[in-house]
Amino acid sequence: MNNVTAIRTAPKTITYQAMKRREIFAAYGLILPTLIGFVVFIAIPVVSGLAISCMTGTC
Amino acid sequence: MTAPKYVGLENYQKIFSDVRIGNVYLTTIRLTAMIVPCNMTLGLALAVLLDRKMPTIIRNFFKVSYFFPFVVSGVAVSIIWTFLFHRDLGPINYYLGLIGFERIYWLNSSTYSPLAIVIADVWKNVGFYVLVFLGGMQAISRDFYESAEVDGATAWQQFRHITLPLLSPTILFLMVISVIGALQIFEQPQILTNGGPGDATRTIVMYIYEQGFRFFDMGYASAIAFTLFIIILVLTIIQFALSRRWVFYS
Amino acid sequence: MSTKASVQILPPAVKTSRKPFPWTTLIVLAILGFGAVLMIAPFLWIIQSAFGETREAFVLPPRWLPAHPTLKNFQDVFDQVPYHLFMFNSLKLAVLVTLGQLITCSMAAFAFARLQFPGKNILFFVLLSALMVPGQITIVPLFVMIRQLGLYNTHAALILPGLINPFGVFLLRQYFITIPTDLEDAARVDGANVFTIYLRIILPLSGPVLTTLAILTFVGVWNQYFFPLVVINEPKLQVITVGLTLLRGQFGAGALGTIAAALTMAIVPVLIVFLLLQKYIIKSIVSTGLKG
Repeated sequence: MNNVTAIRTAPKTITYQAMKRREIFAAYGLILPTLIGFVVFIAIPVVSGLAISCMTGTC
Repeated sequence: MTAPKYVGLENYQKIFSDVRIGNVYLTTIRLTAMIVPCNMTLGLALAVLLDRKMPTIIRNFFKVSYFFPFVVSGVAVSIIWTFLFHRDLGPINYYLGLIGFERIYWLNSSTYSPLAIVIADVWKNVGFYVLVFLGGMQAISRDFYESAEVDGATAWQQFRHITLPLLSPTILFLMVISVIGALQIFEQPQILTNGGPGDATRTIVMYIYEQGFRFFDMGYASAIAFTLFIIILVLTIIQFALSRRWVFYS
Repeated sequence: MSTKASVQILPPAVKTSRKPFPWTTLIVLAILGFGAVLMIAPFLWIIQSAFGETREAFVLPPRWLPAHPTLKNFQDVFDQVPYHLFMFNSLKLAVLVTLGQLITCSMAAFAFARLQFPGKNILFFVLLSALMVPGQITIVPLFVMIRQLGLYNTHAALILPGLINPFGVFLLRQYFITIPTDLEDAARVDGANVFTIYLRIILPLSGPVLTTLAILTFVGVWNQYFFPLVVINEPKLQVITVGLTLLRGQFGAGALGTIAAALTMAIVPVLIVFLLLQKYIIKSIVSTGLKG
């Protein structure tokens, strides 16, 4: 501890790549609820509607 | 209730042998063919009148009173109209009687019940058309009219050659959404006439509801729903394709 | 029109010309006024019937004020059906779905408007294709799914599908892309992450469009009929629209007064909110062209 000339925490740097990657993760996170809802309540019903239309009886 | 079983395209074949569905489709198309032009022309006419010079407060009063039924639920509006249309005790037949009409069986005659549905629908929705048209008209620059006036154009010529062409994107938009909406009409006939008398006012969505949730034939209901889906899709595409001929984008 | 000629014979005034009596304006106002009466009168008639005695409900010519005002009709409504629950349920669903959509739609719209990520355009296009699918078309498969998930007869069946709205994403995205990037760039230089930008910059600047979406969603949920009719069977869980038809089913078309009381309770809150917010409501619905 005696002969230390200078101690500074390194400035918090972040590479451009890392920033881009974070942004991509954030974007997917933000659209996730809508995407899940879209798949469950719109896409699957459309497809299963087609399937149901080829069946008889009460599903 | 029976267990589901795969039957291939049987439900789609059933559509062609179903004696009721042709009638139901015809009714739906007939209602659409009445509702869309009525809403469009009445909406446009009222918008032209509202676009004239008048104090803002009066214009706002008209806007609010025309638009209010549009935000009220279709159920409430339809129930109100079942009372208005009541054969013996309804105000409509009363006032018609004053000017010499016979009592009209609005809700139980196959001649008048589609008309009753159209009237109730136009009453509820026309304010929406009025305000969308009005918005489109107010976006048209006054310069066009001023120079037309200098050239001595009459009010009708101005409407025909300035307002209508510049309003054509609005007209197309309203036509597309109103056709899509009218083909799916459900609440008004369900509550006003329950499809009757017979199937005289049964629409396709009512039929889907009946097959799927009254008879629990969900396969058949789904098959009908898909035919409607395809029809709506095709109509929308046709409307947009035709629009290239007459829609004017400035 | 015809008076114009006779007036113009007068010697030219200092101002360009004296205005003829505004016959056309008068006729226009008369037509519009008659239309307005047709729009308002049915509501007035229903409201007066709600406060009138049963035996006078169907008096012709229609009355506009009850002769013997009474609240008995309202009492009858609550005796017959749990109408307060219907109203509460509708309010609860409308509030929850509106809040949910504001959150999910603004999140997705922010990503689509302001962030770069692989597959963005394709995902947005796929989402928009949902606008081509009318709700009535998927009602049967949606019902089957809801029953298999054990959500039949629960409010979750009405809330969950309402939590997303592709149109809402589109609407908000169109607004978000018009917000200048200057503020955002400055915030990024200061080390703000995307969530800070979303919460502190984009959302506070988007009041008008968020209001529009909130109004559209709220009105839509409050007025919805088909879906609750299909997925809710328990009267206590029912919403106001289906509740009205239940009440009508119990009375038939004869009991105008009671049903008018229920209609009044359904319409008057809407009327008050509409009059308070009319500027925003009209603008929201007209600008988006969305039916409630």
